[in-house]
Amino acid sequence: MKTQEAEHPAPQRGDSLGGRLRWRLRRWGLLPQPQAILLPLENAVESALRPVEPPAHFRARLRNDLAFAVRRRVTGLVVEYPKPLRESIILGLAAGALAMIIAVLVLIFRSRLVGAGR
Amino acid sequence: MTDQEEQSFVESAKNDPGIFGELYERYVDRIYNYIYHRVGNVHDAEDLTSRTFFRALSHLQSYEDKGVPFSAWLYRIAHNLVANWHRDRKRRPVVALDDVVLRGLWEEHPEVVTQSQDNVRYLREAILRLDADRQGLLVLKFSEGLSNAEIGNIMGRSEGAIKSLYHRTLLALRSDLLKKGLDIG
Repeated sequence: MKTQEAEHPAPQRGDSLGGRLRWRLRRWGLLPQPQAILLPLENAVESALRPVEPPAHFRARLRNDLAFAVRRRVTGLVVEYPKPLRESIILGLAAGALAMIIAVLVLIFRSRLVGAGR
Repeated sequence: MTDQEEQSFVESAKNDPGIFGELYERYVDRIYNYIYHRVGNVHDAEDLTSRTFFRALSHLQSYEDKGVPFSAWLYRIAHNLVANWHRDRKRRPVVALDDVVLRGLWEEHPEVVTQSQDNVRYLREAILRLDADRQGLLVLKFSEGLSNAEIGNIMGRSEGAIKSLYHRTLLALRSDLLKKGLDIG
């Protein structure tokens, strides 16, 4: 997978003057060919990006979640990625705060009504 | 499985979503691997992998084979989700705590931790500092083993453009590492 892209690609319109100059110098043999410089880096990148596998428990859980979503989809329900916990907490807090405000307003209104009745 | 077989498989999955499980089994490792190397930690890799497959499931009907294989379509979804993830992180940057503490919060794969020589670690960090396209290109090429043409399909660029981008990416990476005092080569 490595530099079979052996030859240095020709400079393009957006390239800097320095880039074009380096390209010329390499063509004239005054600078070393880039693949020689970059080969060790390619090897290092390859070992740094060694393939990894998902944890088995995650793989199984996601398979189950998707199967559940598929079943819901078949029955005509909307498939949706489960909302993150944080979002649920914020919504819960907002609903709680709203309920508290309404309760306080009701209490104030009631106490005023009682006061006016006396 | 040839491209044609895969295509007929995907068409079947459109009519029978139960078959989607087979597609999941076929691609989950590759998509997870791609995302893991793009975000650098297990937690976000799992979250984004889940999102990729849920999005694929909900948009499966809109997938059409226009010369782009199903795998490329999945990678595109993953690529876009990772790009959004990076954008969000830039908007809400992580507070610069002690580097060691921060690294401790990142749950890494055992196979990655074992290769914990400093050079490899610095290199992985340098790859994560690259812009999204360059980072994606390196992961697709080295970790996924895709050709320039396949990467071009995923990134919506020509094979020549990928080749050129690849070369610039290596030069940029080398220059970044040299600035940090690390000379690989």
